[in-house]
Amino acid sequence: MDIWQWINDKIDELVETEHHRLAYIMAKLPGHVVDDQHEQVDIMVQEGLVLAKSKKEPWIELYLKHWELQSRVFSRMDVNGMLPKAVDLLDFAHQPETADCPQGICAVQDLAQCYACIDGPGYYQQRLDVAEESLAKIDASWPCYTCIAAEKLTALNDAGLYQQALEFSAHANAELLRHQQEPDTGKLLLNTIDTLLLDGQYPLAYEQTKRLDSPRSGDSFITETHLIQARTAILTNRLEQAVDILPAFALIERTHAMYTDWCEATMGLVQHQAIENTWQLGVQFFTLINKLLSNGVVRKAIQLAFWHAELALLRNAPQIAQLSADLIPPQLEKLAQDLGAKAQYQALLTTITTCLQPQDDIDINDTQWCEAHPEQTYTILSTAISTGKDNSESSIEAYLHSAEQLQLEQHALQLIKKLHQQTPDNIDITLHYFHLLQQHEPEQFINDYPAYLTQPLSVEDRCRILWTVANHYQTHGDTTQTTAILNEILHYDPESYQSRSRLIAHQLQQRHYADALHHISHLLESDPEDQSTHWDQIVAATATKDWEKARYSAEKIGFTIDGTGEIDGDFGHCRIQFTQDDGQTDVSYALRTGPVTARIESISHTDHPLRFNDAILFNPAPLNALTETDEDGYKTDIEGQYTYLYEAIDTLKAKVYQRFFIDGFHPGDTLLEALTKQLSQINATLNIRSSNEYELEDLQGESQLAIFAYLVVPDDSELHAVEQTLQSFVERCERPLIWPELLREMQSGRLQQHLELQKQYNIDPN
Amino acid sequence: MVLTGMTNLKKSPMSAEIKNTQVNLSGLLEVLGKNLYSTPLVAIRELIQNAHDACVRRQIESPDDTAFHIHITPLASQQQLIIEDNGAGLTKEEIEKYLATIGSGYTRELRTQSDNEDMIGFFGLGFLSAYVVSDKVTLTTTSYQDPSQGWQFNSSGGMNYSLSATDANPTGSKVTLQLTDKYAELTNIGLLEDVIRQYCCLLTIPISINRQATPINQVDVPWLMPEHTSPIQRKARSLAFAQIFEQRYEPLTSFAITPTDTCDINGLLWIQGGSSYANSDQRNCTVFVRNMYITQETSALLPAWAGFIGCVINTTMLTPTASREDIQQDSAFTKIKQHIETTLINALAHLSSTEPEAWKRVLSRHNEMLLGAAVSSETLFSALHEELTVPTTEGDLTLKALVNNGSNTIHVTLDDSGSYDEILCRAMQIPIVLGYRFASYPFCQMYAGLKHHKLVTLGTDAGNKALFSPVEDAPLAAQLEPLFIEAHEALVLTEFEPTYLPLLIIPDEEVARKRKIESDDAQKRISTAALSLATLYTQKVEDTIRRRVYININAPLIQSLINQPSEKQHNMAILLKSFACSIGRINLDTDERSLSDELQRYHDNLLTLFQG
Repeated sequence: MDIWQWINDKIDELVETEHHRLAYIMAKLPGHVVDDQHEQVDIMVQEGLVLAKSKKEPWIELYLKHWELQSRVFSRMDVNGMLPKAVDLLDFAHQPETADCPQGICAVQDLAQCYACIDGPGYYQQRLDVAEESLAKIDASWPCYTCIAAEKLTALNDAGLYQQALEFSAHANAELLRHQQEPDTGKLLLNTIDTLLLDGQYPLAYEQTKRLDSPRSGDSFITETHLIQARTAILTNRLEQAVDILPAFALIERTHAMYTDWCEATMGLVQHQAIENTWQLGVQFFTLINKLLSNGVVRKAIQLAFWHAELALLRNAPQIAQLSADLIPPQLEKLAQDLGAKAQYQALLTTITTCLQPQDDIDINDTQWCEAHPEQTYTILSTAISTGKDNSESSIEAYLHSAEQLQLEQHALQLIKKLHQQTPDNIDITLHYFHLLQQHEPEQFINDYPAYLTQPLSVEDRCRILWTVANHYQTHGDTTQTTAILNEILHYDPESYQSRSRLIAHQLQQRHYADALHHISHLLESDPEDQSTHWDQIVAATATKDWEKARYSAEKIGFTIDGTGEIDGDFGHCRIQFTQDDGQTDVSYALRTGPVTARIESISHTDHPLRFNDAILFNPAPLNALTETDEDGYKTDIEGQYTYLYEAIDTLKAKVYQRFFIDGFHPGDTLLEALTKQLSQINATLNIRSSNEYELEDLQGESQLAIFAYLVVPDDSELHAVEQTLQSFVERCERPLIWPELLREMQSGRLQQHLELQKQYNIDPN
Repeated sequence: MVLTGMTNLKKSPMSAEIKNTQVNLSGLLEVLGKNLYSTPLVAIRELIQNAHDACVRRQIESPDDTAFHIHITPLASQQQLIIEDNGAGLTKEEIEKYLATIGSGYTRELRTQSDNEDMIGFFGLGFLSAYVVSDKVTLTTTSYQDPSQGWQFNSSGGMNYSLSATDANPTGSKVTLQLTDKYAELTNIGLLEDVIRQYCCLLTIPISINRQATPINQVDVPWLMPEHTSPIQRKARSLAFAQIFEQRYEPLTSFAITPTDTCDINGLLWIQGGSSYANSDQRNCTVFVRNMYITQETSALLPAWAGFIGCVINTTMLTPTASREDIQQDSAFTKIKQHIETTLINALAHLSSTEPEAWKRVLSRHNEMLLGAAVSSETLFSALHEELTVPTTEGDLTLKALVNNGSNTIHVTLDDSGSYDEILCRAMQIPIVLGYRFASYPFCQMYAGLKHHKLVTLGTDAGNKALFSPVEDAPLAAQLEPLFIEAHEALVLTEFEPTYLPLLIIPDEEVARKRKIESDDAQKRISTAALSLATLYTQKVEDTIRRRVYININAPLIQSLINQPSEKQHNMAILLKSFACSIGRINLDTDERSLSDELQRYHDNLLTLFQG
């Protein structure tokens, strides 16, 4: 049975019926899974499911869900997230509308694999039963025969039934031959080699690795092949070969199913002293353990923990070994069967205890040494800190740095928390605690800090705590709270330059210009020449129309602005970038009227708000730099723009305009100029948007130059007068121009005529 | 146990003879010549390559101030194509050793000896392609080693050849192809120009057709521009160069690929101008090896998420296949691929600050693809997470704009069928991210993780718990529980908008799953072993609370109900509950009430209330 046939047929059908997205997703998904491109799976699978459901294609839905599980369970061992889904898929695969779908077999294996991830050996019987049940329903002509046979083999391996496994492998290959298939050189062979290794038949296993070849299994299989080749090479004393072929950590890190093999091979190389047993290796192992645990993988995580501990003990770091040992007990309860795990754990504890001994002090001022020996630094200082022997600031900082190197910040948080509880009056420790808490448990931090502030504290201590709080809110983009906290700091410490400076930035962002001006004045009192503060004052003073202050600060930064009153000059052209509520940006051309103000001169496309003639307050730090020169020696930015680009902060004055389009045949330059003048006399502006390439066909079928323009009129304009002007004008033209939007707004009877013209001449304003 | 390679051990060895494998030259020529190459145009490439290598050889072995050139002369009336060069030429011995011996190429040897990477040829197979397109191939050549002696080589089909002395010509070679009728089109000048521009644009030796003054292959190559070229000029010329290789779209902006200590590569990446949709894959990668065009079909060199990117590279590291129309995917391929990806990621990450205008255009065209790219690369995600928009029920929004309402929460749905909580969110005008759209959900997950925001997936138990925080009010609970709660239901007092929704009834996902799997029906549908695996999971779920009734304590209807006489309270409660069941499309179990039963109850109780 070629289960791929219905898939290929379905993809063809989808393409023919123009359901290209769904066809694409169906075609691409398996490739992404086998090539370990799991982020691509996450990116497209939800969309595929919704499309399949909307098309009422339960078989496609089943297919997509199965491949999602292949990625999430087989490769990434995400049991926590996917076990309920695997149960659901089993049920879904056995509904009337899906019962005949060949993929139903695979859905069963997805569920079995979840249990293999949790505790393969513990659930081996159930997995065997399921594999045998599935194999009984199919024959070796099915593509999934080898997959299910491979799974049965793994279950037998987990049960320690190696002979049975080898016999079954031979039987499976014989079945393949019987069904005119080739003996498997893919997953089934891979697992058979595993059996040989487990059974101690190393040379034979090594020879068999040369046969591994499965192009359809993608990059993932290549990596698995390299892993098993490395393992067999180690066991047959080919250490150099093993070092060469072992995949890099970065390659396997994204595929949890490869962790055990990689760790086992690495262990072997360490034991043979073919690679160094470094603290970095320890960090890698610990990272993998935690990834497995967070996914709900139990037995393999325990195994990795044992290996991590063993490596740590070899490095004479029993406290580090203790870290992984501590992870084991809660996992033991989750095992389906113990199979010696508890005893192994007890033995490990005994070994660790034996190895634990008082350690020499370290010189924390020797930062180079500490940097190179984070495990010793961490363990010695954590002991010193937890026993109260050394709570100095420098020791705590050295400890925290080593924790960061070892990726043990969560452990550090617990130790510092204890320390904080023991010495709540120690502000340095409290600050460290709050800093860690803010980074790793921000909700807890927000819960805890208010209570701490109710106790009597020095101003300095209180402000340091509040500064951490302000950082928290700033990180979370909560400007309101950040501002409130900064104000609180200033209440206690009016001289805090940092707080005031940051507060000004937030107030300007929130458009609280008067408040900002007040704080700016404070800063300028202590540093009258600070350019940055003067720029802020120009912004705030302009917004509050305090022209004296604006001019004063302008003078300080090199702008001499004559006169008094509103600053409204001609400082050249620029561009202003606006960020809308949805986060999108658009740019308008403007005339700079002051150091931080501009008047918009361009008329924007109908996709964007109309800001024509608006007075804008902008951030004077340009977004571009005019560092280049063009062929004529004019300054430009890297994109060839001749003007500076600024970010708009606020609209100081908005003139409300209405915008209508005019479309049709070009009246000629002379007439057009005349129209523009006439319109400007009634305060209407014509903005030509089309190029010389825009053409329309006349009634004789000949192409004529055409024109598309925006007509912008102030909101309080007399539209009738505008329309009359246009109407008088167009009567002098050879060919029509239309303005249906304006007529619609006026509810004019001429609208219909214009709509007919629009249709007649095929005028499309879009 | 049957493992390949092991069975023969049991057979006793027989005496063996060792013999040489034979070659059917005619058959081999046919396979190599006709089946090695996918297009006859490759013959032109190969012969130009030979001419190029001859010039480089002369430069190495006999340097002087010769201005090298390659001339192509198509003679359509005679169905001939002539390729001439003023390179090193060949001696008689070299003709016999290299030209007339398949698989033997001087270029490879000279490259190894001289460590010169400018020569292109590799396999000694190039000249074969001439036999594919020609009835007869004539080579006249004069070697720099013996400028007084010329040689003429003739062959029809390659099986045998004649070699005769002839008058000396200026140093160099001239290959005349007497084209077959089938390939007479190779004399078409337009075709030749296209081929030369595409295949040879990186070759420094000028190639002209019919001895025209302007070489066809004169192109501004970005990585060969003088250092003093202004960035703007460089930019403009780079885009023009990219356009040569980008047939479908106008490039928006480009980035240089530069060599490193371990990666000998020069190239150019560009962003295509056409709009892209999600996973539309328009990757376009042109590969040159030693300045000679190899293929435009190696999109695998670009990352899977880069469906809106084109590139052209020139390197010495990649190994062409025998036909030199593809690249071997070896370790060098992987290295080059990684280098390209790193360059692309860094360029995209900085584009918004270096070229804000271009960036805007890129965003407007490729936002969806960039979402996928950001999910695939942490570097890109860090750089772009605030700028990219996701599709929501309120239009496309950046996540920053979405969470700016102060709630610190991102609501996402994975289903377009609508659920209670979706209805609520829409009523409250809370934007919901359409997580089933391309890359939206994983992007939101990453963003929420980075910013410590809450991610609420609507329609899930966890999502419900996040949306409906319980309110403690024991007396009120005691009053409402007997009115609203039936068997296997639990009461949750909560507050939500809009207040015109008095309550919601939401089934427990886990219990629903358990009941499905442990039903008799499941036993009939699902085989024993598979079902037992499923029940391993469901047996840990307690079948006590099948539904939760979320009472909106701020709802006027609820507040009114509380103040009603007890006999009316009961009717009202049933009314509200039936209504909630029906609008929520609650699937009631068959042993409980059906939808029609529910509507009947609704009706009966409404009637009772109306009748006083």
